[in-house]
Amino acid sequence: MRWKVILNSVLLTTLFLSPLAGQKRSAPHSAGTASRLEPFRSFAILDAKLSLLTSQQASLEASLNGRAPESGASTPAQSRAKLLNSMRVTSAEIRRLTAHLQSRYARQHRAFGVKILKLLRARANAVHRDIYVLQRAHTESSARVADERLGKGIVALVLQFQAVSGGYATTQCAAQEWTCCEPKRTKDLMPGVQAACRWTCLPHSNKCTGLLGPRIPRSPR
Amino acid sequence: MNRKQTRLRNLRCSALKLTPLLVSLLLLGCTHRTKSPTGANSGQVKDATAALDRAAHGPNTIPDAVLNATKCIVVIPSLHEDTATVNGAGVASCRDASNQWGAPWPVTFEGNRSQAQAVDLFVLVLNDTGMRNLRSGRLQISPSPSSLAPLVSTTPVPTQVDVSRESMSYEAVGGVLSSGQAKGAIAGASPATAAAPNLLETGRGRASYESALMSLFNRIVPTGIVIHHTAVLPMATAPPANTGEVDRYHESRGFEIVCEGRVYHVAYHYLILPDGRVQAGRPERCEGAHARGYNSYLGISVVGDFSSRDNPSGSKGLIRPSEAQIASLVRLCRELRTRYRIPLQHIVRHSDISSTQCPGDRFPFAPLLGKLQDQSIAVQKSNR
Repeated sequence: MRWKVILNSVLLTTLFLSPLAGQKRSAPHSAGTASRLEPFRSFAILDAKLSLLTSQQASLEASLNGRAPESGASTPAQSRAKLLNSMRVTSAEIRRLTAHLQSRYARQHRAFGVKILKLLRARANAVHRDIYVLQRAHTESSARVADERLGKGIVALVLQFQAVSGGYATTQCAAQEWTCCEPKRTKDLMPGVQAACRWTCLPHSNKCTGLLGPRIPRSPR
Repeated sequence: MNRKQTRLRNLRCSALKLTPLLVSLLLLGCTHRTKSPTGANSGQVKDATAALDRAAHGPNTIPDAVLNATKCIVVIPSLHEDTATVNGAGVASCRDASNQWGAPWPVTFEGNRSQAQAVDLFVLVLNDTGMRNLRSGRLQISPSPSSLAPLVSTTPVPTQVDVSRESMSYEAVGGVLSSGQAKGAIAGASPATAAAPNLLETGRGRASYESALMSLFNRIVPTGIVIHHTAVLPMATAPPANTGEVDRYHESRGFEIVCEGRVYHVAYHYLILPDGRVQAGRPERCEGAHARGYNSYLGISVVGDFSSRDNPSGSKGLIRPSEAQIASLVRLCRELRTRYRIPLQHIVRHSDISSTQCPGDRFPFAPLLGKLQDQSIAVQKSNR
């Protein structure tokens, strides 16, 4: 009789609590999956944001040269203001992404990762600031100077993004190996970048001295 | 009427009587030749070839990394929807280590889809487990909501993690590819595991099918540009003077590609000579062989050796690009950016994506990007 009571209670517990347990497990699992894909996931988003930023900049250049007013804007000044607002939103998103990546590697105590992402973040901050300066420019000449500065800032951001992300798609690691962006030697650095790395494969995560990336899954997804 | 004439007339009569029987036998023979024991026929290969051709020449393509990882392909042309399920017949084929496609064999698909439109279904099998399952006739496909099959328009450069799957499916309506939504099973064992013979072991049908396959696998929609320098080719004393020299060297390295009905060896799409003249290498829509993992990018090589380590005194040609070369490079990049909507950050040096000094530390890359950035106005203008 007693064993029946125990069996019933076990069955009831399993029936009622298992869906809850499943729910509890599923939420952190999906967040964990996204996290496990870093920094590739953030690189893909950054890539899209940079495409947007450079295309917005092209429209801005056209507007500054009085060629292409933004749709819905009645005057070139309104068009420029609208474009600069959009650029500020995009650059803010780039800043947020780079800050997120930097803090992630700071939590993992990965010095090189922090260093290279700090550079990327500094470039993103500079672009954001340059957009603000251009927004505040009151004269045509000051707008030209600010625009030129913004152009150089965007090139510097692109170069640093390439220095940290370039080649991440070329790794051909075996299952269960780790992807890692190993620091490039100073003599191998190209002009225009202060730090760069090269994506490679490693058998253990603790062998990575640079930016640790995702582990290649063993079984097919 | 003599005996000889009578015999001849009798023979003619017998032949006339036998004609319907002979015609029937001939027709039966033809039907038997094109129909395999599993019920598939050469029409399936023909339909699959047409579906591959449509997809290869469509506006969107499958990223290079996915195509390079593909071990087998299943093509189910014109998949129609019934009430609750969808069924279709098609073909499957796998490639060996030397990149040669094996003979296609008949397969069937049974499952369901959310769309009501008729589509061509393509399943790319990416690992050995998937290949084994396909060959034994029990490959299951299901779309993953978290990671849809990448396309050049959505994921220009997928990573190894993105392609670490058993299979990926795509659908095409009128040659326009999209990520697959179908869920179901591919049945039909390969000849290696069952008695079913290959479809069209030889002949024109198979040649057309293979050509269509190559067309899909060797064509690209360029998503970026990789800048190279030629340096000095091994066994030479000076940088190459034209694409012919590069072609011969790359032929010796085995950089062969069959694209648009021709064989190409030169790995780059363009070569810029010291006087600024631009020579075409392989066509823009053909996959390059200049940067592993980035061969969906266009390869432009500037003649010279711009590395201060490898060519300190200029004994190996130009130590930095000439003004004419830079002007041509800017013009070419501008045209290509306009044509393929290439974003600025997708213009890279070979050294940015690979362990190499190419195109050398003396190559003025940041000024080039600056010039291209200004010239994005031209992109805007031409788009309007």
